[in-house]
Order: sequence, then structure tokens, then C-alpha cells
Amino acid sequence: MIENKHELKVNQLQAYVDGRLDPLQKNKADVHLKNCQKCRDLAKKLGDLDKAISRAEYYPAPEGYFNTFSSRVACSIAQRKMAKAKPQFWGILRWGGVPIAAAATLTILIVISVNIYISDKGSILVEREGIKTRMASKIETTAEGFGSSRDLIEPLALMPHEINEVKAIVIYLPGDEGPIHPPEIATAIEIDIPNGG
Amino acid sequence: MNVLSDQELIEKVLSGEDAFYGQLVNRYQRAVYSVAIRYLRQHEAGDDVAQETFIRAYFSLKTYDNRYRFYTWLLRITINLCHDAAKKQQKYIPLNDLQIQASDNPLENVAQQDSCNKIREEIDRLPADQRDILLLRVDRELSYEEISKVLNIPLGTVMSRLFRGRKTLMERLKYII
Repeated sequence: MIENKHELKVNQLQAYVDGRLDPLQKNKADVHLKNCQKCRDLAKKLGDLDKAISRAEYYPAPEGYFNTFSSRVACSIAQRKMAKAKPQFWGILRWGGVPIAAAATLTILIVISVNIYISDKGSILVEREGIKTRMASKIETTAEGFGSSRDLIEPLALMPHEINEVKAIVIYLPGDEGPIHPPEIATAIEIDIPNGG
Repeated sequence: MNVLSDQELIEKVLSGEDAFYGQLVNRYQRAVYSVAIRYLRQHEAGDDVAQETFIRAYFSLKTYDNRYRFYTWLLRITINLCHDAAKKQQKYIPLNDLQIQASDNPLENVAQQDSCNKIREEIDRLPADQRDILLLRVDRELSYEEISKVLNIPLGTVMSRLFRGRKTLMERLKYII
């Protein structure tokens, strides 16, 4: 039985108004309300307030709004999926870009600053039937530094005709000791020729 | 046609049949929109939150705990988004331009509009924790337990805050209601 201590049962009264009491509790509340004007008044006020709030808080959506809602959601989901896929590529650039740029800069600096030139004993690597052969060939170079592309290509043209495919040109760079003969090879730069020479 | 339950639809979406997500959206779009617009009092903001709710729910579907109603889970996302949006728009915007259910009598309409505006105004003056619960109760869709799940607060707190909010409103609106 719900006792006549109003201050203790506001939650029950509220649950009664909200229809959240189980059948047994509801019966007890009904009995109490029959005999208690104060609780009846409070229950009525709570009910009236709820109706007023429901009326005030009713906002109809613009006409046709829901006709396109799910397709707009689907479109946004597709866009997000695409956007999520992109960062994998940009992420590499973002996080990988710094070391890549640093390495590239360092390489350029080394190439420029170290006194490198193609040894007059420069070689051309010719691959034929899977066998790489280093062929001695004189490459004319400028005073110091790389020979021009013409310098690199011309010797190839002088090769015997049976060489029908050049896979790569390898330029051997001298070590720290400078251009000694034979050069101490420190670095080899291999230039691939994708479609053969 | 056999209507699939929320759980069945979710399982289909999780297994890669994305098209079924549309059914979940259609099922709850009105409820989510009405909660969002009630919180934010502006159609554009409510629309943004409603859409974002379904987008976030889609991408977080794997984390959904099926012990709770899908609707409850959705509303939790909605409420969080509403709070974020409300912070951005500083204050809840009064919806004087929003329609109410009009009657045929113009004078009655004006009076009704006035009283509705006053009620909204007083709701907005409530502490946020009481306002949240009151607005979630409007549709009577959610039980107290579900409100406690949506707002992540104990059941007793839901009931006491709800009553405090109602009591305050009854006092402030006694000349209208």
C-alpha cells in the first residue's frame, strides 16, 4: 500500500503518470489516489504539464524532408569511405614524405658536393640473355662531373650489332680517395632502361 | 513482406549488405530528427545532427551492444552530437519561427504560439541535466532505464532530475497550464 507520505512517493506518482508502474503498483496507486486529493492534484498537474510540453516541443519537419533523408545519409557514408581511403596514400606522404625528402636532399647534396665524376674508365653494363656483362668503354666526360647524356649514349651506339638489348647503364663512382686508377668503387648508380636500348 | 528486426538488419549490414542500413535509417529517422531539433531548436542544426548520427552509427556498428535497443544506442550518439553542436551555437536558439500544430482560430493560434514559446523558454532555462531528461521524455518512447542508458546516469538520478525539472516548470508555468 502506498502510504500517505506525499514527499516520499513523488517518484511513484511520477511513474504512475508516465505509465511506468507495474500492474500491482498501479493498483495500489489507484487506491491511494482515490483517497488523496493532494496526490490527485499533483498527478493532474504532471499530466497537464506533459501535454503542454508535448505540444510545445512538436516540430514538424519541412515537407518532403524524410523522402531524401536516407539517400543523403548513404551519400555521406560513401563520401566518408572514400575520404577514409585517401589518407592511406596521403598518410604515406605525410609521414613518409619527410624522410623521403631528406634522403633526396642528402643524395643531391652528396652528388653535388663530393667531387664526383665519371671515371674515364667508366663502364657500361650490358645484359644479354640474362647475363650482365660490364663492357669497358670510354665515356667522354666534361672536366668534372657527369658526362652528358650524349656521352653516355654514344658509346652504346658503337657497340657490336649483336647487342640488341641494353637493360641498364651502370656508372661506377670513385670512393673518397678521389679518381685513382683503378678507381676504388664506392657507389654504383644503375640507370634502368625499361624497354631496352 | 517479412519485416526484419533491428538486430537482423544490423547483422546484414555487418556482413557487408550495406543496402539494409537504409531500412534502419528509415525506421528511426523521424525519432532521431525530432530529438535533435528539440535540443537544438533549429532545422539546419537538427538536420546535421540527425544525419551525422546515422553516419557515425554506421561506422561504429561493430561496437553496438545488442543487449540494448538500437534506438537507445542511436539516441546516445544523437545527444552527444547535440551537446557538441549546442556548444558551437552557444545557446539554444528560440524557435519562434517553427510551426506548431495550428488550430482554425487565429486568436487561438497566437495564444497557443505564445504559450508554446513560453514553455520552450522555461525548458531552456532549466539546468542542462534536467532539460535533457525532460526532452527525452516528450515522445514517451523511452523508459526510465533507457534514459539512464542514453545519458549514462543512474536510474534514481533520472527520476529525481525528471521530477525536479517538472516541479520547476509547474511553478514557473502555473499561469499557463
